[in-house]
Amino acid sequence: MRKIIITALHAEAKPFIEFFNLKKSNLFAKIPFYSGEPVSLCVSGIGKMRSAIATASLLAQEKEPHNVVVFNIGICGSTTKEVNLGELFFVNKVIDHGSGRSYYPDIVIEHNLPESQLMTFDKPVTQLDFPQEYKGLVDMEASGFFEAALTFLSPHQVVCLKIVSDFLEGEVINKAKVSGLVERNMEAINGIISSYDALCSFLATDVLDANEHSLLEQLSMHFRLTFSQYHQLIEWARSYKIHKKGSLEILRQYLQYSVSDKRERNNYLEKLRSLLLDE
Amino acid sequence: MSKFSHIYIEDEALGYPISTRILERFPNAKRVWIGDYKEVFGRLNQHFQIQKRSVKLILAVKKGGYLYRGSDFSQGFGYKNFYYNTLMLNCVYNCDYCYLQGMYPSANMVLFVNLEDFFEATRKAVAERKYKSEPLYLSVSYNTDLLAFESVVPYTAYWIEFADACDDLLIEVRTKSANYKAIKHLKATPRVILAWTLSPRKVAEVYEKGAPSLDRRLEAIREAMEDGWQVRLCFDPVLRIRNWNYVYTDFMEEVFRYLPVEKVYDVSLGVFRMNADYLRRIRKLRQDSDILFYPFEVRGDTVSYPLLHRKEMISSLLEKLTQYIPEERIAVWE
Repeated sequence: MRKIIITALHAEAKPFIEFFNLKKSNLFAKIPFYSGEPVSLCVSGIGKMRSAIATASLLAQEKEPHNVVVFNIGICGSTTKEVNLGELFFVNKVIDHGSGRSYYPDIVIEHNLPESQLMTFDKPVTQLDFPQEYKGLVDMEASGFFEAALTFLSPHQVVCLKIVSDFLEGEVINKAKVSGLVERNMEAINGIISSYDALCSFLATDVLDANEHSLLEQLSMHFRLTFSQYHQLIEWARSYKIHKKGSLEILRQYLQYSVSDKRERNNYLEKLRSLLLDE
Repeated sequence: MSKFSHIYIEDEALGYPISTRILERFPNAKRVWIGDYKEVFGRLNQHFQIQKRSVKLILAVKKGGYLYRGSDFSQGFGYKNFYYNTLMLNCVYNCDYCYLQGMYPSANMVLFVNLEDFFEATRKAVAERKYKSEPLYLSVSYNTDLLAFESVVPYTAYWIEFADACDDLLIEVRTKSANYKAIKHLKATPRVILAWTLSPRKVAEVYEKGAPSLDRRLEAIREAMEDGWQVRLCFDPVLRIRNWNYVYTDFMEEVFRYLPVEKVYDVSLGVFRMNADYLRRIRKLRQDSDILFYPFEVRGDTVSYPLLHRKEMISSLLEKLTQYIPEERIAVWE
């Protein structure tokens, strides 16, 4: 499972770059990107729009989006002093202050972190700017990150982890302090990232392997199958593998035949169906 | 139900006693406040099977739609005033053949807490039912398994008590649960049918994940029969597994060896069938179950086994069942 971290600031990214030994890549001209294993990282810049652009840019070029988890990790403010400075939270609800829209990740892993809701604002805020009824975390990126990520991924693939850096009292937080907050939580964050590996094995349930998919694709191109016929063929092949427990190599012989019109194509498709499904 | 890691609560749902009871029952669950249950339940691209690893509970207030007319896929057992309601969405079990995987966008469970609104709508529907000579027949464990959730919220018990006090109402509680003890304290009433879905031991073990074993279900059924309840046995869905004929006839013999035949209210028999769109969605999410990748036949918007297979299965199993139960008390779904 590929994991991608998206931070707003370079100071938030620096501890990850060092911890995972990530290398700068020229994937995008204007969005700093660092690649490596088991994670890659992208520095989006500040604000929900930038976060959305970076997230969408990365995910749009993913070849296997079902095999990706994205993490928005960074510092945030808190409206309440019931939490501790430096405390790491798993965000379970993101509210966009501007639109009022809410986003919910699917938290399907077990973890020991405290959880919180978070509200994303368009600009820096202090306690004085606040809706009185809201109690929770505050940032400037998460709603943009969620809006973009959920366009490409399922809610269980979208994760937001935030570290409390201030209580919205207007204090200035320097880069070293930001990096320090991330460093102090690195072990816990790495634990969360690692726990998503379990999902990978869970998802690997397709009875057809890459070679078999390749053979089916060849047959599809060879017989010029329509999109829906191709998917039908894949389902028949799965049924054959599950029920008859045979090898799909029996289909390879059909690559020697050629078709010149729809009627011939449909005849061959029927032969394949019969071979795979008939008792 | 041992735990929920998260409970999502509609703001409006908080004022209901059932919500309070549930939040007390799961004090360690993380609470997330939501405006409307569809914000969570209706999200796009949710992965049903991954969510089944860690099901969340959503407490909601249902706004209208307290009863629905029975659909063509369901079984009204000849009752003309056939309705169902949806007190909960989704089920604690995870059966391979379950249509809910394709019907709902989410595996999370929604519990509607405004029970009194359901009762009120039911009273009204009973009074206004079209065919006055027949009771209003209401399936209350539809698209869920109410009895399996009884330890969390005793909806089955509430509905049995409600039905017992409501003339011209007959309710069906369909279940795979063995949790009969949760309603054992109630007096059996002719206004309730307890309907147990039964499958051969091997089918239950392999394809009915999380559900009680055949033995536990049979024990619960026998106890309910002994206490005077009307019990329906549902051999549905019958799956065309290897040696299906032998497996299912053997299983039926076992069931009727264990249960007093004379106390069976009625029986339903049906082969696997599903809405074609639901099956398509399910197949996208899971490619591991042989029963979902059977070479089905499509009839209109329904998929099932090819006609010859269906006829063969029904004919054979009906013959077996009629050795125990008169044919007029067997509802068949081919």
